[in-house]
Amino acid sequence: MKRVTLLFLIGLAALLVWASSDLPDRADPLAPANRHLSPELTELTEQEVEIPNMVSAVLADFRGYDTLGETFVIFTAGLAVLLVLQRSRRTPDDEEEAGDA
Amino acid sequence: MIWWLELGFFGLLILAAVVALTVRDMIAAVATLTAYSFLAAGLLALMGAVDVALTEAALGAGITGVLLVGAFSRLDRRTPD
Amino acid sequence: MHDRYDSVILHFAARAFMVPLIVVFGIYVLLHGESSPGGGFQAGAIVAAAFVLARLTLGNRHGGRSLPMWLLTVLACAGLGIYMFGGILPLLLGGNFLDYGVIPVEWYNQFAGEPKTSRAAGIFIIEWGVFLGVASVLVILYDHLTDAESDD
Repeated sequence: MKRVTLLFLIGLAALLVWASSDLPDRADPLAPANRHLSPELTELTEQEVEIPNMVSAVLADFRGYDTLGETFVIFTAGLAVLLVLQRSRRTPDDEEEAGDA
Repeated sequence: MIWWLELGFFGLLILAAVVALTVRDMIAAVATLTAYSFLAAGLLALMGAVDVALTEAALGAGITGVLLVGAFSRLDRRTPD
Repeated sequence: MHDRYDSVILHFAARAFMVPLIVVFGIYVLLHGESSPGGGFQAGAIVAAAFVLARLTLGNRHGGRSLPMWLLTVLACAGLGIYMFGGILPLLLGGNFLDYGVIPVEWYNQFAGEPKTSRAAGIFIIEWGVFLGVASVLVILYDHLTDAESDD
Protein backbone atom coordinates (compact mmCIF):
# COMPACT_ATOMS: atom_id res chain seq x y z
CA MET A 1 0.00 0.00 0.00
CA LYS A 2 2.77 2.39 0.92
CA ARG A 3 4.55 1.61 -2.34
CA VAL A 4 1.39 2.37 -4.32
CA THR A 5 1.07 5.73 -2.58
CA LEU A 6 4.70 6.55 -3.30
CA LEU A 7 4.30 5.59 -6.96
CA PHE A 8 1.15 7.68 -7.20
CA LEU A 9 2.88 10.71 -5.66
CA ILE A 10 5.88 10.38 -7.97
CA GLY A 11 3.54 10.15 -10.94
CA LEU A 12 1.64 13.24 -9.75
CA ALA A 13 4.90 15.18 -9.32
CA ALA A 14 6.02 14.18 -12.80
CA LEU A 15 2.67 15.27 -14.22
CA LEU A 16 2.88 18.67 -12.49
CA VAL A 17 6.45 19.26 -13.64
CA TRP A 18 5.50 18.29 -17.19
CA ALA A 19 2.51 20.64 -17.08
CA SER A 20 4.57 23.52 -15.66
CA SER A 21 6.91 23.36 -18.66
CA ASP A 22 3.99 24.69 -20.69
CA LEU A 23 3.52 27.80 -18.52
CA PRO A 24 4.71 31.20 -19.79
CA ASP A 25 8.05 32.52 -18.59
CA ARG A 26 8.22 34.47 -15.36
CA ALA A 27 7.56 38.22 -15.85
CA ASP A 28 6.68 37.68 -19.49
CA PRO A 29 4.84 40.84 -20.60
CA LEU A 30 2.96 38.91 -23.29
CA ALA A 31 1.60 36.26 -20.91
CA PRO A 32 -2.21 36.18 -20.72
CA ALA A 33 -2.16 37.14 -17.04
CA ASN A 34 -0.17 40.28 -17.81
CA ARG A 35 -2.10 41.36 -20.89
CA HIS A 36 -5.59 41.66 -19.52
CA LEU A 37 -5.78 43.86 -16.40
CA SER A 38 -2.23 44.79 -15.40
CA PRO A 39 -1.70 47.61 -17.95
CA GLU A 40 -4.89 49.38 -16.89
CA LEU A 41 -4.02 49.15 -13.19
CA THR A 42 -0.49 50.39 -13.86
CA GLU A 43 -1.80 53.33 -15.85
CA LEU A 44 -4.42 54.21 -13.23
CA THR A 45 -1.82 54.05 -10.44
CA GLU A 46 0.44 56.46 -12.31
CA GLN A 47 -2.35 58.85 -13.22
CA GLU A 48 -4.59 58.99 -10.17
CA VAL A 49 -2.83 57.64 -7.10
CA GLU A 50 0.76 58.67 -7.84
CA ILE A 51 2.46 56.48 -5.27
CA PRO A 52 5.47 54.33 -6.20
CA ASN A 53 4.29 51.11 -4.58
CA MET A 54 1.75 49.66 -6.99
CA VAL A 55 0.86 46.78 -4.67
CA SER A 56 -0.33 49.20 -1.98
CA ALA A 57 -2.38 51.12 -4.54
CA VAL A 58 -4.10 47.96 -5.78
CA LEU A 59 -4.68 46.51 -2.31
CA ALA A 60 -5.93 49.62 -0.58
CA ASP A 61 -7.53 51.63 -3.35
CA PHE A 62 -8.67 49.60 -6.34
CA ARG A 63 -9.46 46.54 -4.22
CA GLY A 64 -10.49 48.39 -1.07
CA TYR A 65 -13.51 46.18 -0.52
CA ASP A 66 -11.29 43.08 -0.48
CA THR A 67 -9.03 44.55 2.16
CA LEU A 68 -12.04 45.63 4.21
CA GLY A 69 -13.35 42.05 4.13
CA GLU A 70 -9.88 40.74 5.03
CA THR A 71 -9.74 42.99 8.08
CA PHE A 72 -13.22 41.85 9.08
CA VAL A 73 -12.15 38.19 8.77
CA ILE A 74 -9.11 38.72 11.00
CA PHE A 75 -11.18 40.64 13.54
CA THR A 76 -13.79 37.90 13.59
CA ALA A 77 -11.09 35.25 14.09
CA GLY A 78 -9.72 37.15 17.08
CA LEU A 79 -13.23 37.59 18.47
CA ALA A 80 -13.98 33.86 18.09
CA VAL A 81 -10.77 32.84 19.85
CA LEU A 82 -11.53 35.35 22.61
CA LEU A 83 -15.01 33.95 23.19
CA VAL A 84 -14.17 30.22 22.87
CA LEU A 85 -10.99 30.18 24.95
CA GLN A 86 -12.34 32.46 27.66
CA ARG A 87 -15.24 30.09 28.12
CA SER A 88 -13.10 26.95 28.17
CA ARG A 89 -10.84 28.52 30.78
CA ARG A 90 -13.75 29.11 33.12
CA THR A 91 -15.15 25.58 32.81
CA PRO A 92 -12.80 23.68 35.20
CA ASP A 93 -13.49 26.20 37.99
CA ASP A 94 -17.22 25.75 37.53
CA GLU A 95 -16.79 21.99 37.76
CA GLU A 96 -14.72 22.37 40.92
CA GLU A 97 -17.35 24.57 42.50
CA ALA A 98 -20.02 22.07 41.53
CA GLY A 99 -17.93 19.28 43.08
CA ASP A 100 -17.43 21.25 46.29
CA ALA A 101 -21.10 21.95 46.60
CA MET B 1 21.70 34.41 -13.41
CA ILE B 2 20.74 33.33 -9.92
CA TRP B 3 19.02 30.16 -10.97
CA TRP B 4 21.35 28.05 -8.81
CA LEU B 5 20.28 30.06 -5.73
CA GLU B 6 16.64 29.36 -6.49
CA LEU B 7 17.42 25.70 -7.11
CA GLY B 8 19.09 25.44 -3.71
CA PHE B 9 16.14 27.20 -2.07
CA PHE B 10 13.70 24.81 -3.74
CA GLY B 11 15.73 21.77 -2.65
CA LEU B 12 15.90 22.99 0.94
CA LEU B 13 12.15 23.79 0.79
CA ILE B 14 11.27 20.22 -0.21
CA LEU B 15 13.69 18.85 2.39
CA ALA B 16 12.11 21.00 5.12
CA ALA B 17 8.62 19.88 4.09
CA VAL B 18 9.57 16.20 4.21
CA VAL B 19 11.31 16.58 7.57
CA ALA B 20 8.31 18.47 9.00
CA LEU B 21 6.02 15.66 7.91
CA THR B 22 8.13 12.76 9.16
CA VAL B 23 9.58 14.05 12.43
CA ARG B 24 7.92 12.69 15.61
CA ASP B 25 8.40 15.58 18.02
CA MET B 26 5.78 18.30 17.69
CA ILE B 27 8.14 21.15 18.63
CA ALA B 28 10.69 19.96 16.06
CA ALA B 29 7.94 19.84 13.44
CA VAL B 30 6.98 23.45 14.25
CA ALA B 31 10.62 24.54 14.04
CA THR B 32 10.96 22.87 10.64
CA LEU B 33 7.76 24.52 9.49
CA THR B 34 9.23 27.87 10.51
CA ALA B 35 12.33 27.13 8.43
CA TYR B 36 10.04 26.18 5.54
CA SER B 37 8.23 29.52 5.82
CA PHE B 38 11.48 31.44 5.84
CA LEU B 39 12.75 29.59 2.75
CA ALA B 40 9.44 30.33 1.02
CA ALA B 41 9.86 34.01 1.93
CA GLY B 42 13.34 33.98 0.41
CA LEU B 43 11.99 32.42 -2.78
CA LEU B 44 9.23 35.03 -3.00
CA ALA B 45 11.78 37.80 -2.53
CA LEU B 46 13.89 36.30 -5.32
CA MET B 47 10.84 36.31 -7.59
CA GLY B 48 10.36 40.03 -6.95
CA ALA B 49 7.25 39.87 -4.75
CA VAL B 50 8.80 41.66 -1.80
CA ASP B 51 5.45 42.56 -0.21
CA VAL B 52 4.39 38.93 -0.07
CA ALA B 53 7.84 37.91 1.16
CA LEU B 54 7.62 40.42 4.00
CA THR B 55 4.22 39.07 5.04
CA GLU B 56 5.42 35.48 4.84
CA ALA B 57 8.52 36.19 6.90
CA ALA B 58 6.57 38.08 9.58
CA LEU B 59 3.53 35.81 9.82
CA GLY B 60 4.72 32.39 8.69
CA ALA B 61 8.16 32.46 10.25
CA GLY B 62 7.37 34.71 13.23
CA ILE B 63 3.91 34.42 14.69
CA THR B 64 2.66 31.04 13.42
CA GLY B 65 5.36 29.04 15.19
CA VAL B 66 4.68 30.74 18.51
CA LEU B 67 0.91 30.27 18.14
CA LEU B 68 1.33 26.58 17.24
CA VAL B 69 3.58 25.93 20.23
CA GLY B 70 1.05 27.71 22.45
CA ALA B 71 -1.74 25.54 21.06
CA PHE B 72 0.32 22.37 21.70
CA SER B 73 0.98 23.43 25.28
CA ARG B 74 -2.77 23.79 25.75
CA LEU B 75 -3.47 20.41 24.20
CA ASP B 76 -0.86 18.59 26.30
CA ARG B 77 -2.58 19.64 29.49
CA ARG B 78 -5.75 17.82 28.59
CA THR B 79 -4.37 14.39 27.63
CA PRO B 80 -6.10 11.70 29.72
CA ASP B 81 -2.88 9.96 30.88
CA MET C 1 5.91 30.74 27.72
CA HIS C 2 4.74 30.16 31.26
CA ASP C 3 6.91 32.19 33.58
CA ARG C 4 9.49 34.90 33.59
CA TYR C 5 12.90 33.48 32.69
CA ASP C 6 15.65 34.64 35.06
CA SER C 7 18.38 35.48 32.58
CA VAL C 8 19.98 38.91 32.61
CA ILE C 9 21.30 38.58 29.06
CA LEU C 10 17.93 37.53 27.70
CA HIS C 11 16.12 40.34 29.51
CA PHE C 12 18.63 42.94 28.38
CA ALA C 13 18.66 41.75 24.78
CA ALA C 14 14.88 41.64 24.62
CA ARG C 15 13.98 44.78 26.50
CA ALA C 16 16.76 47.16 25.46
CA PHE C 17 17.57 45.94 21.98
CA MET C 18 15.20 43.62 20.13
CA VAL C 19 11.72 44.87 21.04
CA PRO C 20 12.32 48.62 20.41
CA LEU C 21 14.16 47.83 17.17
CA ILE C 22 11.35 45.63 15.87
CA VAL C 23 8.67 48.17 16.84
CA VAL C 24 10.56 50.99 15.10
CA PHE C 25 10.99 48.83 12.00
CA GLY C 26 7.28 48.03 12.03
CA ILE C 27 6.34 51.71 12.22
CA TYR C 28 8.78 52.40 9.38
CA VAL C 29 7.16 49.71 7.27
CA LEU C 30 3.75 51.24 8.02
CA LEU C 31 4.65 54.87 7.28
CA HIS C 32 6.79 54.04 4.27
CA GLY C 33 4.38 51.50 2.86
CA GLU C 34 3.37 53.71 -0.05
CA SER C 35 6.82 54.17 -1.52
CA SER C 36 8.56 50.93 -0.55
CA PRO C 37 7.39 47.36 0.05
CA GLY C 38 5.19 47.14 3.09
CA GLY C 39 1.84 48.31 4.33
CA GLY C 40 -0.58 47.94 7.17
CA PHE C 41 -0.77 44.16 7.21
CA GLN C 42 2.99 43.59 7.26
CA ALA C 43 3.56 46.34 9.83
CA GLY C 44 0.85 44.86 12.07
CA ALA C 45 2.46 41.42 11.91
CA ILE C 46 5.92 42.84 12.70
CA VAL C 47 4.75 44.94 15.68
CA ALA C 48 2.70 42.00 16.99
CA ALA C 49 5.85 39.85 16.76
CA ALA C 50 7.67 42.42 18.90
CA PHE C 51 5.01 42.33 21.62
CA VAL C 52 4.89 38.52 21.50
CA LEU C 53 8.68 38.52 21.96
CA ALA C 54 8.31 40.73 25.04
CA ARG C 55 5.71 38.35 26.46
CA LEU C 56 7.90 35.31 25.67
CA THR C 57 10.98 36.61 27.46
CA LEU C 58 9.47 38.55 30.35
CA GLY C 59 6.50 36.26 30.97
CA ASN C 60 2.89 36.96 30.21
CA ARG C 61 2.26 38.92 33.36
CA HIS C 62 5.28 41.24 33.20
CA GLY C 63 5.48 41.57 29.44
CA GLY C 64 1.77 42.20 29.05
CA ARG C 65 1.46 44.94 31.60
CA SER C 66 1.76 47.74 29.04
CA LEU C 67 -0.89 46.22 26.76
CA PRO C 68 -3.67 44.64 28.84
CA MET C 69 -6.51 42.69 27.30
CA TRP C 70 -9.12 45.46 27.46
CA LEU C 71 -6.80 47.87 25.67
CA LEU C 72 -6.07 45.26 22.97
CA THR C 73 -9.77 44.71 22.41
CA VAL C 74 -10.38 48.45 22.17
CA LEU C 75 -7.50 48.80 19.70
CA ALA C 76 -8.81 45.98 17.51
CA CYS C 77 -12.23 47.60 17.37
CA ALA C 78 -10.60 51.00 16.75
CA GLY C 79 -8.69 49.59 13.78
CA LEU C 80 -11.87 48.37 12.16
CA GLY C 81 -13.53 51.68 13.02
CA ILE C 82 -10.73 53.65 11.36
CA TYR C 83 -11.12 51.55 8.21
CA MET C 84 -14.89 52.13 8.17
CA PHE C 85 -14.25 55.85 8.80
CA GLY C 86 -11.96 55.93 5.79
CA GLY C 87 -14.75 54.32 3.81
CA ILE C 88 -17.60 56.50 5.03
CA LEU C 89 -15.77 59.84 4.93
CA PRO C 90 -15.87 60.01 1.09
CA LEU C 91 -19.55 59.11 1.33
CA LEU C 92 -20.18 62.20 3.46
CA LEU C 93 -18.14 64.39 1.09
CA GLY C 94 -20.16 63.39 -1.93
CA GLY C 95 -18.28 60.41 -3.36
CA ASN C 96 -18.78 56.66 -3.28
CA PHE C 97 -17.95 54.26 -0.47
CA LEU C 98 -14.13 53.81 -0.26
CA ASP C 99 -13.64 56.30 -3.10
CA TYR C 100 -10.80 58.42 -1.72
CA GLY C 101 -10.73 60.91 -4.57
CA VAL C 102 -12.77 63.49 -2.67
CA ILE C 103 -10.87 63.45 0.65
CA PRO C 104 -9.22 66.81 1.51
CA VAL C 105 -5.46 66.41 1.28
CA GLU C 106 -3.91 69.47 2.95
CA TRP C 107 -3.27 67.76 6.31
CA TYR C 108 -1.57 64.87 4.57
CA ASN C 109 0.61 67.16 2.46
CA GLN C 110 1.74 68.89 5.64
CA PHE C 111 2.54 65.53 7.19
CA ALA C 112 4.33 64.12 4.15
CA GLY C 113 6.18 67.33 3.28
CA GLU C 114 5.41 67.09 -0.41
CA PRO C 115 2.30 67.34 -2.58
CA LYS C 116 0.36 64.07 -2.70
CA THR C 117 -2.93 63.03 -4.18
CA SER C 118 -6.01 62.61 -2.00
CA ARG C 119 -6.05 58.91 -2.92
CA ALA C 120 -2.68 58.55 -1.19
CA ALA C 121 -4.22 60.21 1.89
CA GLY C 122 -7.09 57.71 1.86
CA ILE C 123 -4.67 54.79 1.54
CA PHE C 124 -2.73 56.20 4.51
CA ILE C 125 -5.90 56.29 6.67
CA ILE C 126 -6.95 52.73 5.99
CA GLU C 127 -3.39 51.41 6.37
CA TRP C 128 -3.57 52.65 9.96
CA GLY C 129 -6.83 50.79 10.41
CA VAL C 130 -5.44 47.53 9.06
CA PHE C 131 -2.29 47.97 11.17
CA LEU C 132 -4.18 48.42 14.46
CA GLY C 133 -6.57 45.56 13.73
CA VAL C 134 -3.96 43.00 12.69
CA ALA C 135 -1.44 43.83 15.44
CA SER C 136 -3.93 43.74 18.31
CA VAL C 137 -5.75 40.62 17.05
CA LEU C 138 -2.46 38.69 16.78
CA VAL C 139 -1.46 39.67 20.32
CA ILE C 140 -4.97 38.72 21.53
CA LEU C 141 -4.53 35.28 19.91
CA TYR C 142 -1.19 34.75 21.66
CA ASP C 143 -2.49 35.94 25.03
CA HIS C 144 -5.50 33.67 24.99
CA LEU C 145 -3.54 30.64 23.82
CA THR C 146 -1.03 30.93 26.64
CA ASP C 147 -2.83 32.67 29.47
CA ALA C 148 -4.39 29.56 30.96
CA GLU C 149 -0.92 28.28 31.88
CA SER C 150 0.19 31.33 33.82
CA ASP C 151 -3.12 31.74 35.63
CA ASP C 152 -2.86 28.43 37.48
